[in-house]
Amino acid sequence: MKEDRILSVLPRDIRRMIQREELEYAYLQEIKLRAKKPLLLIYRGGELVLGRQRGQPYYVTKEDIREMMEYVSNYSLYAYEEEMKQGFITIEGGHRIGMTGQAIIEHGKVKNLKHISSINMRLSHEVLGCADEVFPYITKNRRLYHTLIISPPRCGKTTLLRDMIRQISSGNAYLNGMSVGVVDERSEIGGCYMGIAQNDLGIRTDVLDGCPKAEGMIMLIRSMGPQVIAVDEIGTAGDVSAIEYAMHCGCKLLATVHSQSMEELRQKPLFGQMMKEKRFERYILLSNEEKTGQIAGIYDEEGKLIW
Amino acid sequence: MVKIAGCIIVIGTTTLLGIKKGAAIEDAYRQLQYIQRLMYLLQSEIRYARTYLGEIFIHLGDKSIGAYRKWLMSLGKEMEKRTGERFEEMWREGVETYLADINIPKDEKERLIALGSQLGNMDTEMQIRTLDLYQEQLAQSMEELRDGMKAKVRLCRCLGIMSGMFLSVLLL
Repeated sequence: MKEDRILSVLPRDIRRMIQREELEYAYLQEIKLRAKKPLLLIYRGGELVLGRQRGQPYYVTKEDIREMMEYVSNYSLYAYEEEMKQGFITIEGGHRIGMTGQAIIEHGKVKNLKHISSINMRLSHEVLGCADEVFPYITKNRRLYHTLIISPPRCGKTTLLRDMIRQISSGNAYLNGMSVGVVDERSEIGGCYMGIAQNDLGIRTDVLDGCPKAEGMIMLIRSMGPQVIAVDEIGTAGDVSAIEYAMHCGCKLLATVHSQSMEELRQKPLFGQMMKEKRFERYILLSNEEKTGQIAGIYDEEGKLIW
Repeated sequence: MVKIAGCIIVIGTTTLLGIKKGAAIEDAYRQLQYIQRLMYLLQSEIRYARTYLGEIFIHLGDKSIGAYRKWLMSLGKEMEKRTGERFEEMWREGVETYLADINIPKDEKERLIALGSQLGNMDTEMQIRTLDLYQEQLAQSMEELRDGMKAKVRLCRCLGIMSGMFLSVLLL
């Protein structure tokens, strides 16, 4: 992981403090800044209060929050207006900066946020090779199955998807390299900077950055003719119909969805219907019971456990 | 002979001074025109591409000339350093350092400095409106400058020659 990218958006005092701690960034999951509250890190699966060892926990100031917001937005909050509505901004490297404050409402909808009081920085981890063990189950005769990754938040679904894209695009022992189109609505898969993916997504990958998924999938099919389309966190009816359209066009689909289990997914009307129609041929269920990104099971199109 | 030569030198010098003063008035107008052009480009980058300020400044600096180039490039690079300084401070320092020798009216320089406090921290619509307002005020200043410009330039030149002649008479 490129730690400079993480440090560069942190306020100077916090940046220095984290540098002094000599942390292993691969195990750093989140950095939580709350105005007038101690600085918290989620590190190695547990909570770490910086400065506590010295008897002086570091209390985040409003100035820290302001400074970080300036860095995160490159001094240009207007450029992130759409993202602010959703409550988070994704920065270079795919790290997600969530925030809370006072919502500005217009016509009954959130227009923006002001008086930001809390920031949660969720770090994106690029784990090369983490998808190695799923390939025997999502391919057959060098052919890729339509695959859906099911996972609760913070279980590593984007990390797994990213490595699957990389391997499919560059080719591996199970597949010849295929052209992959990625619709990266929240810039978390590629972690694009000025349109160029900062994470390794393989040699045959085209990334449509910051584009809504449904629209992006159709754009990709028309413009780039991908063999595989990958999207993260599907959830709306528009996403589902775009997926069906892409499947009809002969593209293989890789997607992720938030859910605790196969059962829970089946209960959701949109996905229950898709499962009934056997749109996806493989389901990979993730959990973080033992470690982040742990594969809890791989299911076939019937919902039968095959791994 | 010496007196004639002296008179020619005096008249020549004052005439040149008059021409220089006239050129300075024309130059102030050209500088304001250049700033106006930069503001148009800044506004269209914000409006159509939603590009962030640092990137716009580097991009505009690359296309600009002289002091404007140095100002915009250094501002873009300074923003990348993330030293904790507020944007408006970086903007003000940049204007005061790199545009110190630019020949524009003092109140225009102050207005340009004040613009820094309103950039970057609002929604796009507000950014566009802020820049619209700035450009409106700038266009008004330019119009005022242009209105009297021709007469002032001619006056400066005439005064240059006349004052030279007057000094020559006095010296003789």
